[in-house]
Formats: sequence, C-alpha cells, structure tokens
Amino acid sequence: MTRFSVVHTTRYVYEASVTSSYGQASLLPRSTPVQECVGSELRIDPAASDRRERLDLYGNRLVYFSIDRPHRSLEIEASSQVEVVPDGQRPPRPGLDAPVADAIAAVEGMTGDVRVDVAPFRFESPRLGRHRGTSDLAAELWEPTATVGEALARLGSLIHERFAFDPQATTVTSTLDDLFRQEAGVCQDFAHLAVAVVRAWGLPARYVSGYLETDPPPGQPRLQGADVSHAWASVYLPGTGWVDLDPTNDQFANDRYVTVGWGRDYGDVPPLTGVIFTSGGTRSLEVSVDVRRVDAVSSGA
Amino acid sequence: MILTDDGLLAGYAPREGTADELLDDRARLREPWTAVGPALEAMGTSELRSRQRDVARLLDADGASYRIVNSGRSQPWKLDAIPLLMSSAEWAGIEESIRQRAALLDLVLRDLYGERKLLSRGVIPPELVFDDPGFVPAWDRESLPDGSQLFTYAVDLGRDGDGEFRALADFTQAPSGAGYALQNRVVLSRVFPSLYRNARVHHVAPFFRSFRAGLQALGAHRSDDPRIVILSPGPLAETAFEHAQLGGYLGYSVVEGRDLVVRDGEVQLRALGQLEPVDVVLRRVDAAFADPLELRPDSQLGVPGLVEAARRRSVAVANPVGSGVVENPALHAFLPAAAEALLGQELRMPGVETWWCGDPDAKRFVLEHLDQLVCKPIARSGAARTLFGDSLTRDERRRLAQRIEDEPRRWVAQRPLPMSTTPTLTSQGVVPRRTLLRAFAVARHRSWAVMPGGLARVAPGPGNPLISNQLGALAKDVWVLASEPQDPAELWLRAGPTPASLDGLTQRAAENLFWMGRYLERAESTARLLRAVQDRRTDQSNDDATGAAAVAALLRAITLMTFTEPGFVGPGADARIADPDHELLSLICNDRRAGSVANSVRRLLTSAEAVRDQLSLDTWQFTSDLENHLDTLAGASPNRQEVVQGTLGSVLASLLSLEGIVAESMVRDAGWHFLDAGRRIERFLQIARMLQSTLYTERDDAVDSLVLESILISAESIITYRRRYRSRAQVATVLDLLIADGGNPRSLRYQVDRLVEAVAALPGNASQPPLGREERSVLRLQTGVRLVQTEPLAAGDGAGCRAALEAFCSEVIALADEVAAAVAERSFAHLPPQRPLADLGVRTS
Repeated sequence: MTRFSVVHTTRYVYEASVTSSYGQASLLPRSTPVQECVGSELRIDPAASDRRERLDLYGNRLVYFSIDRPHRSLEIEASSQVEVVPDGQRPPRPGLDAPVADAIAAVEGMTGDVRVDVAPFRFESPRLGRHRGTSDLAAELWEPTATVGEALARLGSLIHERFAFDPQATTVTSTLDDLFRQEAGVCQDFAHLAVAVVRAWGLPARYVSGYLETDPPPGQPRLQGADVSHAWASVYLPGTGWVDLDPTNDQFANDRYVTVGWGRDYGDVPPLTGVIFTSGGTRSLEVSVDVRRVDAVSSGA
Repeated sequence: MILTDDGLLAGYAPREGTADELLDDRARLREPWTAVGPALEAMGTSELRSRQRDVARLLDADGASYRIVNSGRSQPWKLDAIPLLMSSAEWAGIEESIRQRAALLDLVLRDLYGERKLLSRGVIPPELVFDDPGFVPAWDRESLPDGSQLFTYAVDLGRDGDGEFRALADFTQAPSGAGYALQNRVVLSRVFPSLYRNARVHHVAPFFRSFRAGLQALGAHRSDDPRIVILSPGPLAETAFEHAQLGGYLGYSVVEGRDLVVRDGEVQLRALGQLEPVDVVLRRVDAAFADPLELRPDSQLGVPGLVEAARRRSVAVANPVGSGVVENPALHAFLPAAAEALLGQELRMPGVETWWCGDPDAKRFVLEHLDQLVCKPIARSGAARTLFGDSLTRDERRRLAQRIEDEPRRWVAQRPLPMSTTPTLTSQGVVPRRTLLRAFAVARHRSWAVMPGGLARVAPGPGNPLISNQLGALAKDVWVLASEPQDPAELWLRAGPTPASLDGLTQRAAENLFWMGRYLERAESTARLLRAVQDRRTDQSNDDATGAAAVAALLRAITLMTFTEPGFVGPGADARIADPDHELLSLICNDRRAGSVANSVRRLLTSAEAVRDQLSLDTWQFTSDLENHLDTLAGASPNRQEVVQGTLGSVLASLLSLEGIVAESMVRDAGWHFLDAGRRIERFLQIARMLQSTLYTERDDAVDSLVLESILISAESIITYRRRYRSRAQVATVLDLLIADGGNPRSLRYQVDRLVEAVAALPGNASQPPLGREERSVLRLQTGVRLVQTEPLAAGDGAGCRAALEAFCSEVIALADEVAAAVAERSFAHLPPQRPLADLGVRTS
C-alpha cells in the first residue's frame, strides 16, 4: 500500500462581519475498491457550534456545520491519511478490451441492484443537460467496434489536444457551452465533458472529485492540478466496474490519485458549499492542497 | 322529479356523449339533486344571480384571492353559487379509493428513499425516478419522525367516458386548495342557509380537526404541545390567502423563511427578543426553495439547515422535501404494479391511461397516436406545457414528435379524460361546464382522513380543455349529501390541547404591524390636509388676496410635511402655486411617489398583507375597498376633480374604519402595542410638522386666521375649538388645543401619553431601571411636551418668525424619531443579507 497524507486548506476573509454561517464540506476521502481512508480530520476555525458527518446518496462523506457567532474569516482544514493500492496490485479490467457496442448492450440489459446503482449516472444531470457540441463530439468519436479502452483513450487525448488548460477561461459555474466557446478550461470542465460524451454513447459515467500527488516521483513530470483539488471522470463497464479516466492529463487514473467522492456532476460533490449572513462580500479566498507520500507500507496481500 | 319547462334549468342541455352531474342520459335528475335541483329551480334565475352577488361580496369581504404567477397581481377568488352534489354512497367509494392511493404513494415514497425494491425489481424504471427533479438526493434514507413520507395529499379527479372517477394528477409536494375549499363552504353555507341545512351536507370541519391532530402527532416526540408553524413564501405567493386562512383556522403562526433560524440542529422561531423552538413545519414553500444550503442555493425563501434539522428529526417538515417525486405523471403507468407489490391489492380507482415514452414500446404507441393523446413533460412546470394532440396542427405535431424522439424519457402521454359537466351559472344562464374535482387527505393514526367533497373547478369556457386557476377557472363547493342530519356540534374545532401561551409574534410581524400603524396615520393625515386645502381653494374667490396667501401657505406646508420637494417650495414653486392642480393630483393619486396618499395606502396594504394572520377578519373588507380606491385614483385625470375628491373622501372613510377595527377588534397583545406605537409616533410627527410648516412664518391676522382654520379642520379639532373659544382663531389657543390638551385625541400631549403606555407594554419593557433606549427617549419626549408653555411659542421673534415654536417642534420631532429608531433597533433586528459562500470550484487559485 502507498500511504498519502492530504491537507486541503480553504480560507475565506470577509469584508464585513458574518453573523452566522452554514456549510457543507465534501472534503473527507471515502474508501473505494482501490483506496482506504485510514484517518481524517476536519478542523473548522472559528469552531463550529454544530457539526455532523453523514453519507450521501452515493456513499460520499459529507460534513454539515454551522457557526452562530460573528466572525470575519473562516478557515477549514481537512487532513487525511489515505492508503492506495499500487498499480501492480490492482485487479485486471477486462471490460476495457470489450467492444464499445457490447458494453452498451450489456448496460441496456442490466437488471436488479446494479441497474439501480448506475441509473443516476446514465443520462442528463443538473449541470450536464443536453448539449449540441457534446453530441457532435460523441458522434465524431463514435466507433462501436473499437474497444472501450481505445475509445476512452481517444476521448482523453482529444480533450487534451483540443482544449487548453487555462484557469482564467472558465469559472465554477461555467457550462459545457462556455468550454466550447473558450476552447479552454480546467479539470472540472474536462471531466464534465468526458462524462457527458461517455453518457451520450450510452455508458454510465460519473464525475470524481479528488487529488493528485503533489510532487512527482523522481524522473516523472509534475502533473497539472497537483497542488489543487482535481477532478476526473469515471466510466462504468459491466463486469469490471468503474474505470477512472483523467482527460486533463490524458491518462487513466493510477496509484497517484486520491478520490474524495463522486456524483452525477460537480454539483453533487463541491468541496465546500455554504450560506452566510453578512452585509459585505468575500475579500479573499485562498485554497491550498498538499498531497504527500508519507511512507510505503507493504500490503501483505 | 321533472323540471318545469320555463324555469332556471329549462334550457340546460348536456352535450351528447358527455356525462353530466345533474341529468342522466334520459334527462332525469340524478339522485343527489332530487331536493336541491327543484329548490334552485324554484329560486329562479334572478334570485340565483342575486345570491351569486352575495357570494362575490362575502368573498371580497374576506379578501379571498388567488395570485397570478409572475403578474404581481392577485385576482379575486371566483366561486359559483351552484355547488357540485355527490351522494354519500358514491362518495364512500371515492373516499376509500383516495385512502388507498394516499397510502400507496406514501409506501412508494418510503421505498424510493429507502430500499428501492420497486426499482431493483423493475416495478418502476430507476431512470424515471433519478431523472426527475422531484427526486431529492439530499432526502435519501430520511423520513418523517414516524417513518412516513407523506402527510397531506391532494388528487385531481374527473369522470371517464363510463362515468367512473379516475385520478388525473397527484399532489404530494405541497398540496394546496384545502383552505379554499373551506372558504367556499363558509361562504356558500351563509348564502344558502336553509338549502344547506336541509340538504344535510357532510361537514368539512372534522377534516381540519384531523389535520390539526395529525400535525400535533408529528411533533409528539418533541412535546405534548408542539409548536407548529406554516412556512409560507410570503404575501406574494400564489396561494398566500390560503396560508393565512389555514393559519387562522388551525391556530398556527404563518411564518416566512427569515422568521426561522436553525441553531444546533433545531429550528427556532425568531420571536420578539428571543428564539422559540419549533417542532413542526407545515411547508408551503416549494421543496426546491426550502433550504439554500442543500437545495437551490439562490433561494431567499428557505431556511439554511432546515433539511439537516429534519434529518435529525428535531423538527418534522411536512410534507418532506423529497415528496414531490411521486407527482411525476409517468408514474400512473406503474402504480397498478406498485399497488400489487406493496399492498397486494388492485388499484381501486384507476389513473388516466398513461404511457411513459422512456419505454420504447410505449414511445412507439404514443408517436402513432399523437392526435388522440395529451402529452406533457414528466416534471410539472405549469399547465401551459401540456399539449393536446387533437388541437395541434400537422406541423406542431411533427415538432412534438421530434421532441419526444430527442428526449423520450422526459415525456408522458395520457388518454384525455372526458370529464363530466355540472350546472354552472354564467351570463348565458345555467349551462353545463366540464368539472374537475380536487380531493384532500391527511395522514392520521396510520390511516388517512379524507375531506368530504373538496374543491371543484369548472372550465372558464365551453371549449377549454385545461382547468386551472391560473387560467381563470371558477371554483365550486362540493356537497356530499348525508342520509342523516349532521351533528351541528361537529362544526366546532374541539380537539387538541389548549393553545400554547406563546403568541408567536415574529419580529417580522411586529415590524409590519408597527409600519401598518405608521402608514395608516400618514395616509389619513395627508388625505385630511389635502382635503382641507381643497376646501380652502373652493372658498376662495377670484380677487381674494388674503385667501390666495392662505392657500399658498398651506400648499407650502403640504410639500414640507410630505417631503415631496420641490413641489410648492423648491425651484418652480411659484408657477405650481399659481396652478396647483397637477401637483395636488400627483400627491393624491401617484402611488409610486413617496409621500402621496396613494403611496401611503399602498404601503399600508403591503404591511397588512404581510401580517394577514394577525388581523381581524373584518379588516379585509376595508383593505379591499382601499384597493379599489387606488385603482380609481390611478385612472383619474386632472379634469375630473370631483372624482378625485370623492375618492379621497372614500379613502378617508376606509382608513377611519380600519382605525375603528384596530381600536375595537384587536386584542391588546404585543402585536397591537406595536401597531399603536406606530400610529402614535406618526400622528405625533404629522401634527408637529404641520404646526412647524404652517406657523413658522408670522402673517397678517386675516391670512393667519384662514390658515389656522384649515389647520384645525385638518386636525379634526375645529368643532371643539369653536365651542371652546368662539372667537376668531388665535395662534396661542390653537397651540393649546393641538399641543398641550391631553384630552384632545389629536394633540401632541395625547399622542405622547399613549406612546408611553405602548412602549411600556412592549415585550421586555418593565418600566424599571435600567430603562431601555426607547423608554428613556419616550420619557424625554413626554417631559418636553408636558413642560412646554404655549403662550411664548405663539409669540413672534420680532423678525417675522416664531422661532420658539420652530425650536420646540424641531426638538420634539427629533425625539419622536429617536423613539421610532429605538423601537426598531431593539425589536426588529434585521438579519444581514443571505449570500452563498464563495465557491472557486475545482481549479487553480
């Protein structure tokens, strides 16, 4: 197992006194088939007068909190220890070698609990409605006889080539339309686009929020999005399960990725949302993320 | 029973092939009408029309209205004088079917937010549920404290071609209409007392008793006497009238999102000076808007943390925020199988035949039969999007087919429901109109109580396929006729414990009452002054320089008192004084101009609407009159002075009636004291400003005498003055009467004495040290008024002015403003604006 220590800090400074705050944090990593969250802590300053952790519909960890004393700033620090299964020890993914058409047929034939579990991820979602550019892209890449692995790789490369990485191009509320118009965006936009294209083909896909290891191992390049929150797409393959594709870095996710949670789109797993009562605005918002390999423990498995 | 050839119902001819509620297919009266039909017939058309006018008058007097979405206007609730009649026997069957359907939908909801067996077993397609915006992921695995998911339920019913009732639409999210049904009953039983009594109509009161008992039960795990509130979007909501009406009838406070706050996972009411726990929220804010933290972040109508509090079961929010998912019309296609799976029963009452286009076979059928079907999107969003295949052109049908092909999962098609017709009074006499019946049920003791009858609505015209209040439908009371006389004692609410001693006055309500008092006085004093000036102008002859000087002085005073400069004092004032009609008309009629009579009345009405549940029912007759007067004034033109002056008189009369109701019909609770404090402060200010603006300048005796007379008329003190002083008006004696005389209800002294009492009675004021800011300032004001000597005030300063009077007025005006500010500061603590936490998303900083 590879153990990562993740520290994600968000600091808001307000222009005027905030009389009360209500927030919801999606910052504590969940466990998945290839990772285990072995410890986590959410520190809220000023101290929350009320907080509670729960699991959402998709099994993600959400923390509700409220602060009912006046405050001028808010700092939220999530620290977690996550053990990730190394690439070499991960189960094979035969679904990637099946033709796309077969995978789609298998999805359409699903019944029972599996069908229920993937149903939320099959069609449009609140932030990913029907969109012309996306359907065109899905048609352009449509090759039913190719294997799923090939199709996803092509999708990742195409997004990587066609759209520039530019944090100034889009904002948190940008739509796929904005992405196409700007021909640039960030990981959130690229993940959204990949999810939408895969759904247009007829395969279930979800949006994943998480992190990348900050400093690359010796000799490897530093990846885009390494010192911030990251996002990518995950595709459901019957018989295999979910396979994660990172279009921002044009690769399948590996053992340098740490998952926090997933949903239909960004709207299901924003790191922090909240409501504040104040007569002023937000003077500054700073986010920092640090993901470090702390030690390598042998898995024994 | 055979009807006469020339009576009320003589020309009544149901359409061939459409079931009719009054006549069977051989034109004989149906059973429930055998007594009422002939009674109506005997009444005759003109009598029935006169009763119809009584109906309208009573509805108007209660302020019954329905707000048209996005129009900013409310329209009167329209009720047909002829009820819809049902026999007990037929109703018993319908009631049983409604019980079954409500129970089924509750179980479906429990499953969809629980184990989802209906989905894994393929009874309901999972994609249909997860695609529906009515499915609320945040409500997953949650329920009401007793494990249920549905508390109130409504269903629209109509007859099919065989005359059997079918369910057309289910309402589970925040069903409305029960309060309007109650209103219909109250009015119709008053308009037809003997007909109603003799017909032995099943009462609706027991249903509302169950409603109360059910809400009490939802909070029973918290308290023996749970605090229950109705959460409303406010006076601009479509059904705001109903919220206030239910609040009044059931005895619960009607609150808005900002009246509630979540603290430590519990919902609290922002009452005066303290937070009071709330145990049950009857939610009438749409689910999506109920909590900006977890649902729509842009909602200003909700309460952040409400969903979390409901999850912890520290509060029961009924209906729960997830309950809307079973309103999806596509579910009709799957409910028979769900009934089989969950209840092991057949559906007693079938829904309309329905096809969900997400199913390929169903889609094929729908596309082949588009011209015979009604198509709608799965998510309800206004009646306008329902498309009737038979009324579409070939082109429109092709476009619809394309939309269905594009997004088949978003579309539902239904077989049109023929619906029966009922006799309805129209300008053409009594004619058959297609009728939809909304029935209501409420959960109680693991069962469902159903309102006998409900709310019927008839199409606005003979051809309209859609029946919706938004589109001008007419309502009908529904009488289920009992075979036995009904126990009159059942009319009274008697269940439930004694109401809690908390009067539930929120800060928002207190503030609205305070401003209602202020605008009431402001409107009155402005109207009186304008009328006095108009009278003075009428008296003035053409070459009367004295009269002209007096009028000019009064006109200037109007501008100063109403803060409407330039008017008669600023640039261009001389021209306007020479020809004041245009400016005076604006000061009366222009409701967008602050300071005008119309504007003060408009604000008064807005404040009153916001505290509808706090005010006596008699209030609404006069607010309704005031609305009408405002309409008249808005259309007034300068050359119709007599209309304007006449209406101004009517406005004054309505305002005085309102003051009478405030004085005679309102309990002296905290709310009343706020209203009275507002009135006293405003009247004090108006008198002080009038004296200041009219008497600061010394004029010759002849002019001053005319001015003083107008002041006395305007201050409603002329008769007393004449009786007491007999002679020509003198400044000193006028000041005696209007400042110092504690027995004159229009004097400063009288206002300040009442204000001291009102302030002392405000919650939290004990009149003991340490005194609050408003107590200290009101005592200073009282001392200043009590100690003043009027003789020196009347004297001039030798420079043509009454400087002492000016100084006194300025001082007491500042003190009165200070009292108002102090009351507001302590009692109306405003929350700062609600904003979303800034969100950068997932990106580099």
